Amino acid sequence: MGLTKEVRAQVGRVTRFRGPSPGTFHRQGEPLISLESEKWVGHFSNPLDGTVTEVNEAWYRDPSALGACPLEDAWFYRLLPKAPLIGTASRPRAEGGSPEV
Amino acid sequence: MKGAPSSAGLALPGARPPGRLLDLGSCEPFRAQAFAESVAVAVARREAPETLILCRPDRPYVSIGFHQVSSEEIEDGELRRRGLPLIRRVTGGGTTFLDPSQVFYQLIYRAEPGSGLSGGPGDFATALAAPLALLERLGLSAQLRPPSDLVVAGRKLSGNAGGTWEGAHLLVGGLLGTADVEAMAAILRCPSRDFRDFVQKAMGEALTGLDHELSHPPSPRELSEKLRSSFEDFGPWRLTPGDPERTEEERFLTEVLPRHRDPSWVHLPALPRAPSAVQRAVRVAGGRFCLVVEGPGRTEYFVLANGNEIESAYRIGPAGPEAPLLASHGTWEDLRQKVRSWGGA
Repeated sequence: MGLTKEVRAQVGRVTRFRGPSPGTFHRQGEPLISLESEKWVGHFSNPLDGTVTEVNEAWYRDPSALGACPLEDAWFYRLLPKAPLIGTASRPRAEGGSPEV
Repeated sequence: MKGAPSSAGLALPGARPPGRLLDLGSCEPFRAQAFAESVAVAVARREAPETLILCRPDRPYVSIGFHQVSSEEIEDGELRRRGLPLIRRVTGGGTTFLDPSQVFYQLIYRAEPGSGLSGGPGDFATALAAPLALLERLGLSAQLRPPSDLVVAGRKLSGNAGGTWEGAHLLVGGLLGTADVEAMAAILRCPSRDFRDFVQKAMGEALTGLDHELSHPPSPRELSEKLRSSFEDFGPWRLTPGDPERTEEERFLTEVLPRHRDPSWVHLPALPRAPSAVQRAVRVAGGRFCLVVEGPGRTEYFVLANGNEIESAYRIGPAGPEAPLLASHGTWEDLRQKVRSWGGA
């Protein structure tokens, strides 16, 4: 999960970040990510029910360095959806889980 | 619609879209601070028009920014001693002490075309045209100091913050009737009495209130009425007075208030920190910070920094702060050289 290029351009220089903890389950629509820039806090909601498998710790170390980075570097977290995504290519997993987004 | 104040230099929208005015008057701290979050849900769902709330708290309280960790920022014992509620807001910025001398304005919006609001830090200039115009009507030469402070003669009289919440945009701020710097410094976590005195002095120089700037300051009620008039003239919407919807009241009581009273909301866990020479940083106003910096030999220094500029710095000896290290404003490199020249102190 991360921000599109267009939204990143609006956000500006990020000074603070908060994200979810790995291993936690979250519902669609829950605000999971917050970024602060120039006394403005943007809250971003979780797009799918699922379990957070990994959080990009680089956001905590130096959020100002990541604001302008491409999604490959500036992703927020990886989510294992609760149910398979309809219409999305999926690959089987050994534990029989859902595809990773 | 009247013209923009000459010194403001702020753009005004042309044909303004409609908006709702909710004048909540004097209300308890949680309602004054967080009723806007319930309105945000209604605005985002288009169950309510874009809305301006005017209100003022009926008693003092403390608010921390969304990303602040209360255990790092707040002196719990002092909060309890003074009976101050602590509210973690959904918008940004630092710790604020709020009291009944202050009047709040809160804009909740979807950033519709024509309002001049787009949803982001760029909205401060548009939204703050009204409070800025009010200060000028009161005879004060006020300016917007980016990103979001209104200042009179360089001293902050209005702090503002913003954000998105539940799909709507929020921009909130207030005008200081009195800048109670004693209370502001008292509730902040400080490693020593000397540092608290340092912070209070810096705040006294950086903040001001209407009671200090005007020989006959308006009462909070009068100020609220003047603010309403100014938003009618210079705000982003054509305002129609209204009352909160039943659903907004219910949501506030059943969702917003319980969340704000939940300790897990108020007290975020601290994040791991990289080792740093800066032991404590307190935002005073704008980009100005009071810092405790540990130098060689574990010697402490108090530093007042504004961005990359050092405004003052003191070595802390056994009897407290010593003579200033810098004769005038300098850079971090000036300070480093000065510290080295003290023979490794």
